[in-house]
Amino acid sequence: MIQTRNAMIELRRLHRNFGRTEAVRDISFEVYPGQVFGYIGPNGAGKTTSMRILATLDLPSAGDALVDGHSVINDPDKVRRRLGFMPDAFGVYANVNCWEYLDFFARSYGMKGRERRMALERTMEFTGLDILAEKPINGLSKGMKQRLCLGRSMIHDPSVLILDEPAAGLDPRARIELREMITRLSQAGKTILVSSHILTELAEMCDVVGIIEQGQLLATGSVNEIQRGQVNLSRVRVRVLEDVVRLTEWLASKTDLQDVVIDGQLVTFAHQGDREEEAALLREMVLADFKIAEFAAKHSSLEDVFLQVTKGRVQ
Amino acid sequence: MTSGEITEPIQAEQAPATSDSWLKRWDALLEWGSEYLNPILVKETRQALKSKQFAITFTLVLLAGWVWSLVAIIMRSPGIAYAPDGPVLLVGYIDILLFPLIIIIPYTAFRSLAAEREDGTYELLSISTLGPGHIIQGKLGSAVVQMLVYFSALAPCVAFTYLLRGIDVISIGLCLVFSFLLSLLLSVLGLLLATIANARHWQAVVSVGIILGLAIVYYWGLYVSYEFLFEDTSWRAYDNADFWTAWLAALTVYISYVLLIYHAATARITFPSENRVWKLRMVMLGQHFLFLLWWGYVYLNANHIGPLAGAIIVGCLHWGVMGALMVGESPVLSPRVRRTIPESLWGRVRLNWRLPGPARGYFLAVSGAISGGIVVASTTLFPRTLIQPYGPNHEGIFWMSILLPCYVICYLGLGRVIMAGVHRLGQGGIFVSLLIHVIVMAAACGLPWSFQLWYSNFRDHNYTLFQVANPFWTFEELFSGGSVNNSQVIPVTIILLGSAALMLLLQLYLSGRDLVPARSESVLPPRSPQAGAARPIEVPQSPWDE
Repeated sequence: MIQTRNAMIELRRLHRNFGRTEAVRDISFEVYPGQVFGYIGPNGAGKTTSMRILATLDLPSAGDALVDGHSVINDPDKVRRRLGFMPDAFGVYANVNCWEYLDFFARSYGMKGRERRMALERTMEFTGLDILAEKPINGLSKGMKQRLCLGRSMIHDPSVLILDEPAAGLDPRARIELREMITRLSQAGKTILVSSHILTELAEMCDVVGIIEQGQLLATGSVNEIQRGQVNLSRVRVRVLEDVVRLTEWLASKTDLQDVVIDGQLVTFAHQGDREEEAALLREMVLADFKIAEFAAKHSSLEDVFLQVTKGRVQ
Repeated sequence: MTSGEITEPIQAEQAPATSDSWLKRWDALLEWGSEYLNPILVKETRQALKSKQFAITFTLVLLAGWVWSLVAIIMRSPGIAYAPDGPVLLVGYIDILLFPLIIIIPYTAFRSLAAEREDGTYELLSISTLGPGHIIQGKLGSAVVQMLVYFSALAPCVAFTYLLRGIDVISIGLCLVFSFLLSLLLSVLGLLLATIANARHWQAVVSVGIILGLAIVYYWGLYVSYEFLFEDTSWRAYDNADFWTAWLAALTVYISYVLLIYHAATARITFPSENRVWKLRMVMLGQHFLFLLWWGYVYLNANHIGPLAGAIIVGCLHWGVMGALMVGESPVLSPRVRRTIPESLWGRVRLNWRLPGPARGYFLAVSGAISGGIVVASTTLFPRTLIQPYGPNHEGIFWMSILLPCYVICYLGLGRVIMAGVHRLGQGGIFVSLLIHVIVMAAACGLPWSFQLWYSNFRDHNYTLFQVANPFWTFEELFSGGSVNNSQVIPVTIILLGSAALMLLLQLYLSGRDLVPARSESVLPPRSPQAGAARPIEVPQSPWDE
């Protein structure tokens, strides 16, 4: 018997208007336990607005958002206990060290005594901040501050984490470390909604992505699923040992190929089709007696998909 | 992350028990005690202990206390041993203490909450399990701790004044209690003001306004301390029961206003879908009865009717200001609030005043003003032969208790109509509403007078019925000189009663069914047919499923 888990995050026909501006328009999606949902879109697309609604910092104009089945409108207190939110701003205090900062938030979530100390130890160890416990926050690097903020959002062991641009402004090492931490959290069963502009990062850690533009969700699903929904153009490069001209003429006769470019013995072209069709094309070339020395296809990345899906409009 | 990842036992808990250092034991004791304190109080105390500003201010207060002790002793010696110089030293210490109590602590409380909003930490707090009340209590608790620290800095100096002549322990105690209460009031006011402006430029404007206001209060504090300890000591009748009754009355009114401001600050930072007004309305209603109680007590114990005039004026002023704020509330009832409305009609009517909304706010304020008017008017009429002989002042207060509620009804009604338009434009708020009421009142007083002057070629400066919208001039005209102007009072009453009745009918018509809204259960919107392509993870329930 296969049982289906309930969605941990659910947006139902969510709308948010600021005056006449529709920041979020009828967005609906679901994220299930253990999934990492990548929320991507240009600046001003409505990502942060919908994340703030989920974090109970704002109210929807219409529709609702649910966290573990609890409505952000009707049961914000229950939502808060199940949710950790990391906004794009650090939000740190002066004259406070790392340990005191996390201790304060642990107390704010009602943790007492041994429970709180264990949570602090656990979080410090997970984020690698245990060696910096006594260090004032103002003296931390951006990467370390980001770790601290991640630690703060997970101090009460929430089942859902909402991370708004967590990798913004981080150096490559810090970004990789953050990605690893998110992957570990996901493996521990946390449901994570993460927004980022660094699409390669998202492609590697997200199970599902949602593309949003002008407040509307244009596509959701795994990267492959979204790709299937798009015109699937791959760039194919073929190197032949001879007969380049004949190959060019042969390719021109094909209807699913376009944009053929010759560079010495190397021919590149755009091919519309999936990997099966690429294999069939290669087989046809071999049967047509071309001496193929190299055949490679570059498929569209998340960036390509994003560019195809969105139109670069902002509100 | 799971708790299973913890491999090392936690050592911290055992450390204080095994340590023989009394410092560590003290630390462990404090740590244990802090479990029961507000987290914000703990955090802010830690911050304050490391803060340069606090260290500098504390040191300056300490130094100033010592310097004043030396200077005063040198100046007053050798007579200080037998002359009544206690007040001289005490006024210096109180003035030194008032600086942090009136300026530093309230401003720090304001900045503390404002900075949370500016730096984005407020949002992190608000999504924790700390309620808005906890946040305000924590900030206020931090202010109280600072007050106690400053008091402790000058405690030896203040105690020294008791050894001198000319001052008694009750006066010293009253000075300290008054300073503490003033600082607490200003701190809670600072917290409320920190919630008013969100934009940085408005925060700056409010900030400047607060500094100016606090400076004025500080100079007032200096004046009062000097007056209390030197100039007029006759009212310090500690053996007179009326003195302590007056203190009790002032204290209860003070507490009611601190509660009101505290709940207002809490309401400002409460999640918008909650019912943010019901505690405020409870306090307002409590204040209404408190005023009636104290004015009634004074009336029964006094030999004149003045307290009744005080009761109706203060009562109508109270409901006028509160009503002006309440009609600025959003007319939209959130689904969460609607869920709390009782199902029965009786329950809905009975608890209606606790729901937010301009219509309900208007009728609550108007009911308060009318009920106050009825109590005062009936007191002037019926028990006059029992309590006091009937005189011309009774008649004046009778008419006043009819006319003042009429003004409240008309001005609040007018303000509410304007605010309805402002709300339709998607703007507004309680402070905008208060401002609109002030403008409306100024216009209603100024425009008829300007028109009258223009119409008479600037020759007619006398009161006419055309000026009836101006309550100040009308009351001056009707009740000046201790007697009632009988030729004017009847037409003015007819006009005002008629206007108030029409305004009430208009408000009832405008409010319609919204006045007593029905309960509604929350219904989730239906799932969108295109709901996200993310699919549930299939969880294997048995090895065969894999």
